[in-house]
Amino acid sequence: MEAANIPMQPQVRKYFYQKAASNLTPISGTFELTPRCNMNCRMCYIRMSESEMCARGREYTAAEWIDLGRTCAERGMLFLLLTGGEPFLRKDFREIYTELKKLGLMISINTNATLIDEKTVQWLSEDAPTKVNVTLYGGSNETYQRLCGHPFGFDAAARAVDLMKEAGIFVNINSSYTRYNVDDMESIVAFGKSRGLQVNAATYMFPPVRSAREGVADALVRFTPEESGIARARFELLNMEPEMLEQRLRALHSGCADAELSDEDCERTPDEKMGCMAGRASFWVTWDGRMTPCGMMNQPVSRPFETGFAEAWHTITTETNKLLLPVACGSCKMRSSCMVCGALCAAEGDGCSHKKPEYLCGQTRVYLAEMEKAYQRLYGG
Amino acid sequence: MKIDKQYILRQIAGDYVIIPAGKTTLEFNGMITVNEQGAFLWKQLGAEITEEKLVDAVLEEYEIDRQTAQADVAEFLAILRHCKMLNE
Ligand code: SF4
Repeated sequence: MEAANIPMQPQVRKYFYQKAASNLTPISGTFELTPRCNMNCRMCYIRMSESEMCARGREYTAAEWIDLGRTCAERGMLFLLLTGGEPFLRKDFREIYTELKKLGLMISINTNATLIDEKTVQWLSEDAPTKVNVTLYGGSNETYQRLCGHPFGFDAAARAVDLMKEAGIFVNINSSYTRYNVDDMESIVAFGKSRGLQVNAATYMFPPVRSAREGVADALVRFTPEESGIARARFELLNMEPEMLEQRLRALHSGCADAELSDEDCERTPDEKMGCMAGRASFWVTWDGRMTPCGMMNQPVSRPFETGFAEAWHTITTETNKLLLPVACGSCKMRSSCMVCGALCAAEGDGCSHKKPEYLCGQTRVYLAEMEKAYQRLYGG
Repeated sequence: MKIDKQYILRQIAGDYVIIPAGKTTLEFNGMITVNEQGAFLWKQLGAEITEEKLVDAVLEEYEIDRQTAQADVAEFLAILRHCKMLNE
C-alpha cells in the first residue's frame, strides 16, 4: 500500500504475469503507434520516413487503436506500453492516450522526449502514465547530432525529463549502446544518478530483423560480441549501487548469480521455451497491425485488426508454445547470467529459435570475464 | 464517508484491482488488489455511506455474523484511510 510514486511493486507485477501465463490471459500489451520519428538514429530498427511508411502500409487510426485497447482490456490486459517510432509525433496521440487511460490500464510510454514541452507535461499530469521511459542516446548534443541527426536532442530530452520529474511523473531512463555512443555511458549514468532516476541499458543490439532498410542497418553500429560483453559489464559496474554491486560480483564469482537483466519490460522465466512471458501473457502489435509475441520477432504473426483479437491471440499463444530454445542453453553453465530468450535466438538464427546464438555466448563469456576481473580487483586480495 | 479520489476497479484474471486515474495517479502510482468482499465494499463506497450501513450491506450479501462483518469493514476502512482514499 505504500506505493506512492513507485509504479509497480515487482512482486505484484510478477504475480499477475504468472497467473496470466497459466491461463493465457493477455495481461500486457504493446501498441507501436507509429514507425515515424522526429529523430533518425543509426541503430533504429523501426523508424521509417513518411514515404517509407506509405510504401509499406498505413498507420492505424486513433479509433482503431482505442477499439483494440477496449477489446484487450475486456480480455484482461492490465499493462500497456505505448511506443513507436516516436508516439508523441502522432497528432492524435492525446486522444489515443486519454481514451485508453479510461479503460483502467497501467500505461507506460516509450519516448525520446524531445517533443515533450511544458504544455505536454501539464496535459500528461492531468492523468499521468504509470511510467515514462525516456531513451537517452547520449550525454551531449554532439552525440545526438552524430547518432540521431538531432543537433539539440540532448538538451531537449534533458529538459523534458526535468519537467516531468518536477510534475511528479515517474520517469525511467533507457539507454542503448552502440559503437557510436558507448563513450557517453558515464555521462548517461551520471545524468540518471544526479536526478535519482533508474537507468536501464541495452548493450546487446538485435540484428536488424525488422529494419526498414531491408535488413541492412549500419553494420558499423553493432558491437562485436566482445565489445558487447565489455559494455554490459561496464554499465553494471558504473550503474549499480556499491552494496548491490558487491553482492552481484560475489554471486557471479561463486557461479550462482541470478540473471540481473536490466530490461525491466521483459518478464523473464527460467523455461526452455521463450524464456519470457511473450506469447503467453504478453503481446506486441506493430504500427502496421501485426501481432507478434514481442517487438523483436517477425514470427509467429497474426492480424488482430482483421481477424479480431481473440483469433489473433490464439494464434500467437499456440505458435509460441511450439518454440524451443537451443538445447545447448539447457545445460549451459553461463545460463543464469545470459540474456538468452526466444526472440533473441530467432533473430540471431535467421528465424530459427533453437540454433545456438554464438554472438550471445561470446557476449556472456566476455561479460563474465570482465566481472570476474572487477571482483579480483575489488575483493580478490 | 465515500471514496475520495478517482479510481477504477477492474477484475483481472480472477483478481480485483483498484487502479488510480486522473490527478490521483501522481499521488498514488501503483495499484491495490482486493478480494471479492473488498471489491463489494469498494462499490458501496462509491456513494456516501456510513460504517454501520456498510456492515449491513455486507450482512445482506454474505453469510457471516455481525461481529465478523464489523471487523472486516473496519479493517478495510483502515487500509483506505492509510492510503488517504476516504473522504469522511
Ligand atoms: S551462453 Fe550461449 S549456450 Fe549459454 S545460455 Fe547463453 S546463449 Fe545459451
